[in-house]
Amino acid sequence: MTAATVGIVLVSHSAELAAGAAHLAAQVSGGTVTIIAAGGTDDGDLGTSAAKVERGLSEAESGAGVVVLPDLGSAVLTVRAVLEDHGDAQSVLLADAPFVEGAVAATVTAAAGGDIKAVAAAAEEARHVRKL
Amino acid sequence: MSANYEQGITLAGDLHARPAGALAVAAGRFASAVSVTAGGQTADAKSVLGVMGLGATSGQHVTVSAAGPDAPEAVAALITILGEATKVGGLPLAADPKPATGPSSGPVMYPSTEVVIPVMILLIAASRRSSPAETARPAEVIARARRASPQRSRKREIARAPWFVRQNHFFIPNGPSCVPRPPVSRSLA
Repeated sequence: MTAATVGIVLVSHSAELAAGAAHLAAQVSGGTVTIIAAGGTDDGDLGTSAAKVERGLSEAESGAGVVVLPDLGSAVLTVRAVLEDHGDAQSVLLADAPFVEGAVAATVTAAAGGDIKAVAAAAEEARHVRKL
Repeated sequence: MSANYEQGITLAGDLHARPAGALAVAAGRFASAVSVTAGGQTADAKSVLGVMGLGATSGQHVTVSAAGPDAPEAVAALITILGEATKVGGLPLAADPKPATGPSSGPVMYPSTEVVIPVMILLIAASRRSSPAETARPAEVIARARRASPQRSRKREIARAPWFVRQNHFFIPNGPSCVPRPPVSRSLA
């Protein structure tokens, strides 16, 4: 596979949670996808940072687009505020998905060469997969 | 044009997250529809969560089925992965992802007790206004406090401290050189 893969940005209120989910998703998917953890505020407290999300979007982009997963409701507000300034709405999709399962499913689909819509859909389908 | 292919394998180890991920990544590269069946349950092989949800364990018989233009190749590839990836040490560890670059998010440290205690003693001295010379020459007070600090008993220091110092537990005579900031509760913004 020489084509660019879709990048993933994990936006969490907790830096540790975003980093942990990124670590897990990388291990499950084989480490070929760019996953950027954008967690916590700029000074490391609980909360979200528009600056981190913005940097995450540019670092995760390699030509195939970026799928963003927020952890809780207000992370969505931060991502939307960044996307309003981002301009290219086609290249970024915000996925409504459970954080950990969505991150793993999206990353695996990206690793298999799925396009941005397939990757976002894989994340959102995670809501319907039962664990037990 | 397309045909159904099927092959079974007995697992050498449990079908944990990483083998399930390797299986789903490989399955996703084929055009054919591919499924995995274990213990009477069938999952889409391209769905890592579905494959993990099978809960297939060591010694269990698993069947891979594919229908589509590249079905034989898909079945062969997935059977190989099931054979290799479920072995202990069968999959190499992937490189860790990096966080978004930006301000350091490491723990914030207080300065060491060597600085905190003399500064607090200076503040106490200043607040008591016991000697005009002390408040006029802070450097000397810090130096004296630093010399005196090890001999001074913790109890006496606390007793001499104003209420707001005692309240906040600023005295850490034998503590580590750096003390992590205590957790701050705040609303999730």
